[in-house]
Amino acid sequence: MNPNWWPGSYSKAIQPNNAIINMFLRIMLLFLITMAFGAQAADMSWQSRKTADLVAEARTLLDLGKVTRATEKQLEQIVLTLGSRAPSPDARGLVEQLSQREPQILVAHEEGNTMIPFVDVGAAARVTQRRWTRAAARTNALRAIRAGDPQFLQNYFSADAAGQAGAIDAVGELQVQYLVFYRDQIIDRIEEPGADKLAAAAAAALADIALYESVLTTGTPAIALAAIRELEQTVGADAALRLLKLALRRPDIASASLYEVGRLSATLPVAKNLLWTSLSDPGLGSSAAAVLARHADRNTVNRLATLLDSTENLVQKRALLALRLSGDARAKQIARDWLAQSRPDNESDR
Amino acid sequence: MRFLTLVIAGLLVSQFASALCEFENGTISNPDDPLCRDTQLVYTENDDSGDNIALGYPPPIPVDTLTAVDGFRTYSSLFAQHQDLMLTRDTVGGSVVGQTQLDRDIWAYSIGDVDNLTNDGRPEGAVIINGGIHAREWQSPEVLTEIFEQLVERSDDAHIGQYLRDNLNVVLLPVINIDGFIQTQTFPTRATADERQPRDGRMRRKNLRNPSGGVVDNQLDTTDDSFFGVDLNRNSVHGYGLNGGSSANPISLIYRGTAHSSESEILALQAATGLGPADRLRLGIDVHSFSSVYFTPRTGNTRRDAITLGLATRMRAVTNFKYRYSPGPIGSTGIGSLDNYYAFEFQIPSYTLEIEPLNGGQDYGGTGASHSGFVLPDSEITRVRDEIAATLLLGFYRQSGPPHVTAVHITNLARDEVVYAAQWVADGVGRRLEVTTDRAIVPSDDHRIYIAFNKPMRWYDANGNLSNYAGQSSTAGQLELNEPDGLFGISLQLAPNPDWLDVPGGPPDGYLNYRGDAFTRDMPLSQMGLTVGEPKSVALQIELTDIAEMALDADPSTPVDWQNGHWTGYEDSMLAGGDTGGADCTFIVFLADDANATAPPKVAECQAGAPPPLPPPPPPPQPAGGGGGGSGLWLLPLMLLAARRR
Ligand SMILES: [Zn+2]
Repeated sequence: MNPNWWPGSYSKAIQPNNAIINMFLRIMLLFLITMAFGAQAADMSWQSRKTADLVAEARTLLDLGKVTRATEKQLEQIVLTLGSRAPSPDARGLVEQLSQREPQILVAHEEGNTMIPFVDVGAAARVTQRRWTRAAARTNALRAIRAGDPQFLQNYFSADAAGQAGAIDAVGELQVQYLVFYRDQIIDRIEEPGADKLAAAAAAALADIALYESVLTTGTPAIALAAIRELEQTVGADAALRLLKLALRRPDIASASLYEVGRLSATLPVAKNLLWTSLSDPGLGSSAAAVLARHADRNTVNRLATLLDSTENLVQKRALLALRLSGDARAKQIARDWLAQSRPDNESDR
Repeated sequence: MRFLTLVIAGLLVSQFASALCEFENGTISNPDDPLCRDTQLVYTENDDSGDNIALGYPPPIPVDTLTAVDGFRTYSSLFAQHQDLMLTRDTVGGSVVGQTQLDRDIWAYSIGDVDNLTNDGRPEGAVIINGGIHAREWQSPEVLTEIFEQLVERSDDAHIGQYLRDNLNVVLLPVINIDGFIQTQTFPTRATADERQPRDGRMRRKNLRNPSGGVVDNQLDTTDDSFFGVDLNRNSVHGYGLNGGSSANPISLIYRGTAHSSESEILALQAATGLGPADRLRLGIDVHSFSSVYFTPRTGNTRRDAITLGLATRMRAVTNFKYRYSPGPIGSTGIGSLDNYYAFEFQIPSYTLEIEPLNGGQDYGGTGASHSGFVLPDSEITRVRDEIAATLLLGFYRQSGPPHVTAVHITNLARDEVVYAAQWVADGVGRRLEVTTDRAIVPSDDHRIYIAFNKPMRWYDANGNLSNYAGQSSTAGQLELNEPDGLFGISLQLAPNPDWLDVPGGPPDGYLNYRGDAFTRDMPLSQMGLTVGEPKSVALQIELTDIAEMALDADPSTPVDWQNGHWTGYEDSMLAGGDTGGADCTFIVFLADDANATAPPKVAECQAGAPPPLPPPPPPPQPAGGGGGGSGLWLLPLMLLAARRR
C-alpha cells in the first residue's frame, strides 16, 4: 500500500498552507462527498469535462489524502474517462502514478464470508494505459496503411497485444483499396503470433475468402470461432457455407460451425442437407441433432421420426436427441413414445 | 480556490454508473423509487459513460456449441451436450428430478457403470455435485459440463476415469437455477438497479419466484419485478433463516423464501441426492463463483470435519493453493445454504466452491469494475474448466475410498518359478486372503515381487509418462520383510518409484485392472549372502500412498466404507480403525535355504513401530545406453537391500 494515499501527506498541495483553510476544506469535502453519494446526482457527464480539470481534480483528491468509497470511485471514473481521450502529459503522469495504486477499500462479497476490492483504481488506470497504447497504434496504423508502408506488418508483429489491437481497429476502418496491398503477405505470415487476428480483420474488411481460409485452418480457436460467426454477413451465404465446411474439419469449432450452417439452412437447401448428413457423423451428430431441433418444422420431425427405425444405433440416438430437444410438442411425444416402447422397464435414461 | 470548484463539480457527478439506490443492511431500501429500480446498466469493454460499466475486456456473449470453446455455451447447447452424453453413452444415466418455476425440467445425471457395485461387488460410494444455483455465475455450468465430459471421455482410459466408472457413482446437476441462468444469458451485457448491487439481466442471482404469484418476466424494461426471486442458496432446511445469513425481505439478494424447501429447484436437488443413493453419498460440492475459496460448514463431527479439511487440502493443491479454505464457525447450524444441506443432512465433506477470480475482472487485466468477477473473460474459461475439472477428478478419486493391496506374487528368477501368490477375494461382508502358492523364498536366489492394488496408484501425464498428479506427491516408502521376533528384516527401497505397470495382463508383468495399479520390484537377495537356518515366517510390510496421497487400508479383510462422517474398516498399521490408514502386513511368506522346505507356522506380523531408517540410496549412475522406457534406468541403482540385526 502506498503511504502517500493516506492522511498526513496532503498538506503540501494545498495553497495556501493554512491550517484553518485546510480544515475547512476537508470538512467541505467530506460534506460534499456525503451529499453526492446519497443524493441524486446531477446529470453532468464526465465526458463533458476538460482533461486538465479531471487531472486537477484527481490530484486534489490525492493531495487531500482522504480515502473513502466516494473518492476511490471518483478516481476510478476519472482514469476511465481519461482513457477515452488523447492523453496530455499531465494525464499520463497521473495515470502512471495511479496504475500502481492498490485497492484501498474492501467490501463484503455477496458470495459469502470474504472481502473483495470496492473498486480498483490501479487496475482501471492500467486499462486506460492500454487504451492509449491501442489508440496510438490505431493512429499509426491508419497512417501507415494509407501510405502503403511496407513496414506496417513488421511493426504489427513486433507490437504488444494492445498495439496489435490498435492496428486491427485501423484495419476495420479502412477502405478496401488500402488493405489489398497487405493481403498476400498476411496469408504468407499466417503462422506468426497475432497474424490470425489481423487476417480475420482483413478478411472481414475485404470479404476475402482466402484470408478466411487461412484463419479457419490455422487461427487460434478464439479467432476462428469469432470468424465463423460473421461469415454470412461478410461473404454471403454461399461462400459462408463453403468456408463453414472447412471449419467443420476442426473439432474445436466444428459444433459452433454447424450451428452457423443451421442458420444458413433457412435459405440454403444445401445447408439443410449438410445437417442431415452430419447427423450420422459420430463427432458432429449431436450438434446436427441440436441444430435440426432448433429448425424442426413438420417435415423435419417426420424425417427424424423415421430415423428412429434406423439400424445404426448412433443415428437412432441422434434422431431421438433431436426430437427431444425440439420445442415441438409432437416431436417430444414421438420421442417419449419411442422410449417407452423400447425401454418400458427403465424409468431412468441410461 | 480552483481545486475546490473542481472537487465540488466532481462530487456533483454521479459516483457510479448509477448510485441512486439506497441501502439498509445490504439490502436496497428504495426498490420502488424509479430512479433506482428503472436504471438500466450496460456492461461494455471500454465505454464507462453514463450507465455503462467498462470491464476492460469484451463481456462474453453465449455461443451455440455443444463442445467447449474459448467462451461460454448457451444453456440450450449445454443441455444438448448433456442429453447426448446420456443417450449415447452407457456410463451416463439421467433423470428429471424436478421442474423450475417456469416448468423447465431439471435433470440430474449419474455417471458410472450400471451396476453401482465396486469391483469386488460392494455398493459403490457416491458423490454429488451441482452447478448454477446462482444464475449469474457462468463459470459454474461450464465447469460442471467439463467434468461431466471428462468423466465420460476417460471412462475407458484403463486408468483413473475407468476406475471411477467402475467404483463410484457421480451424481451431477449442471444447472439448478435454469430459469435464472437463461435470464442472464438473454441479457449478457445488461443489468438493472445499481452498479453496487446490480440486479436482474446478467446479474440475476436468484430464481424467478414472484412473491405475489407467478414468475419474474423475461423483460428488463418492466422493472416492477426485477428485484424478486428466492436465493436458492438460502432455501435449504439446515440453518434456514438462522444465523443472520439470509433475509425475509423479498427484495433482498439473499431472500430465503417463505419456508425452507419452498422452491421447486431445491426439491429437485433433494430428489437428486436419492440417485446416490443418499446413504452412499460421501461428498457434496456446490459450485459457484467468485472469490477463489472453498467455503465449508463444520458440523461438529470431528472426524467428518477433519476429513473435509484433508480432502480440501489435496484438492486445493491441484491448483497450487491459489484457492483459499474458509471453514464456518464451529457450532454454527448453518444458513440454509446447499453446502449446509450436504454437510448436516449426510455428514459428508461439503464445499461451496467459489471459482476464480479472486478479486474481480482486474485479475485478468480488466478494470475491476464492481461485480466484474461474475463476468469471467472468454479467454480464461478454457483454463478454468481444465483446472477445476482436474481438481474435481482428484477429489472424486480420493473420496472413492482409500487403496488396499489386492494381490501379491513373488517369482524366483533363478528358477523361473512363482513361489508365492495370494489375493484378497470377496467373502460375504468381508474379504479373505486366498493363498494359491506358498513356497520358500530362497535367500541365495534373486526374486521379483509383484504387488497390485484396487485402484490406480500412480498418475501418467498426457504423454503417458509416470508423474505426480498436479500438486500431489505420491509417496512410496520401503517394502519390508519382517520376522516376528525382530531378529532381522529386509528392506527394499521403493522410492521414488518401483516399476509401475502400464500394460494389461495381470501378474507377473501387467496391471490388474488399471494402468498404474500394480508394480514389480526386483529382490536381489543373492547379493546379501544370507542364510536363514530354520525356515522363517516373515510378513511383507507394504507402505505407500495413492495418487491423492491416501495411505493403504492396512486390513483388507474388513472392506472400507463410509458412515456417519467417517471411514469404516480403514485400519492403520496397528490395525486400529480410523481415517488415516497405514502399512499392510497381511501377506505372510517364508524364507528357507532349501527351495522345497515346508512352510513354518505363519506367525509373522509387522514390527511394532516404524522400522529404523535406512541409509539413503546411492546416487543413480549416468545412464549408459540411452532411454529405453525408463524402468531400467532407476531400478538397479535405487535398490537397497539391507539385512538388519537387532
Ligand atoms: Zn453463488
